[in-house]
Amino acid sequence: MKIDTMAWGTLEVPESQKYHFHKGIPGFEDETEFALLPVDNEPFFYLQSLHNKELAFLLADPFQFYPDYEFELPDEEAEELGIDQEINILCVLTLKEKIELSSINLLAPLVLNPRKQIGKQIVLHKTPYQTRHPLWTVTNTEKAGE
Amino acid sequence: MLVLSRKKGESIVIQDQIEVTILGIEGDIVKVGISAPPHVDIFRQEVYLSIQEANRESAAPAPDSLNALIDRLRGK
Repeated sequence: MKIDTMAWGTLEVPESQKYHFHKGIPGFEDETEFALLPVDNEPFFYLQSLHNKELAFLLADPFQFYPDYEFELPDEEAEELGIDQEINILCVLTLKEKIELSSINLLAPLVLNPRKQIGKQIVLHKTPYQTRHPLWTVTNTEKAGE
Repeated sequence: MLVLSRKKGESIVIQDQIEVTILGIEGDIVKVGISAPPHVDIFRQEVYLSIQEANRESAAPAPDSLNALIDRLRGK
């Protein structure tokens, strides 16, 4: 299928990368059709709306940044997404002009079922996580500056 | 907005599927129990608003920012 993007113009993308979000995404509840586009050789993905080329999110594997990240997926959510075996967890990044201030949303991870090609941004209850965790802790920054 | 008065232990039924019960009242805090079908998402409003806001702020990241992020990750 062909999709229109702001960043790369029109792209040809396999149908297998299409995801349906029944309830949209908080803030964009009417957007239900997306394509998940991997960024070459990087732990990032673009979630591109199929109906609005100006709407895309940058997602990352949260475990790359927070290896201890964990949550319990509520049974109702697992059932709603038809998850039995395969599952993919990605989190939304908020990029800032000053790149060090960019953050990752660990409170509301995107849970994807790659087999059924459906996804949902779920909201964790009773969790210490928030919408804005820094991508770099002080230690990481020191390492990067070496 | 519909306004109803309820006592502790009393409930409200919405569309015969959702039941909201006042479990307790202590000072200015009301404890509410909600029974709803599994597909109904229930959030604290401020949490949902914070996620909407974070998503709006995250929408349409500039490709330059992604490149800057990747450079930063590689320690350039």
